Amino acid sequence: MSAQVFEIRYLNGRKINWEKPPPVTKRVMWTKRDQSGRKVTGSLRTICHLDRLNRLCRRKYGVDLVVIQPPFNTTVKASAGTHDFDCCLDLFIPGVPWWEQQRFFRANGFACWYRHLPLFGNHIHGFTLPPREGKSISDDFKVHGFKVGIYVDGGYSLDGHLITSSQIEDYYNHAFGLASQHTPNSDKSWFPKNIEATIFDLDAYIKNRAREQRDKEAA
Amino acid sequence: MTDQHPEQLNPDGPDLGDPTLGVPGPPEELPANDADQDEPTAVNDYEAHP
Repeated sequence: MSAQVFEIRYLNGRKINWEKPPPVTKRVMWTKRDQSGRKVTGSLRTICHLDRLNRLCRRKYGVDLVVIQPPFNTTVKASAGTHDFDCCLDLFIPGVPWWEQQRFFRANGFACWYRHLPLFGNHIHGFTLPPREGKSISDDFKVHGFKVGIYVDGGYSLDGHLITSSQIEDYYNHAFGLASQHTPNSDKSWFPKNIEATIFDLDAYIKNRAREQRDKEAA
Repeated sequence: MTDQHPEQLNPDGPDLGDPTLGVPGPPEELPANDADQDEPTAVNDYEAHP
């Protein structure tokens, strides 16, 4: 198991005071870079969830997850804008079967699909689920102030209303989140019985980081 | 609503060969019992595992 400790920091590299964290939508970075050496940045909520997933991943599999494509990345045409803004990542866990990876991430609040040939190279594509609130599932990102790529929420966070297909809606409907594959219950792979119960608990995460910080200062 | 799709791809497009997009290798078959698996990881067990 890697002994390296990864942290969440402000974009200028300054450490976060977990007793007084920034707003949930504040853009921050993870100290672990992606597979190509790029910075992994996103809102505080997204990056905290990513770090939480990595902590669970280490505990369960003894390895760190690998980010293939971070949020706020506009360089991959094949992603059709899903990574242009916050919350959306392509990643994988080295040495773990793909469908097991999908179950692991879904069980822990990362709405995702295993993507593979012929359309894609093997990877897990997904996004951190926002808290459930608002008049529809697709507006959950917007209601909480998160901006995501147009196909992630159907355009709510960019244009204020639904203008196209929505991966988050497809996820709750057990569909594939791909072109012409939006039929509810068409994805027969594993989904959590209660998707809402899997949503990342940012407050609990921050409490734990604050406790660690106090312990470290007291030592 | 259009039927456009996220990660819309031209199967012949140049991005398919982009090694940064995925891990090389054949696709894995969906296990027949995948949907019947138990919850793989305890959910939101923050206090037990900080």
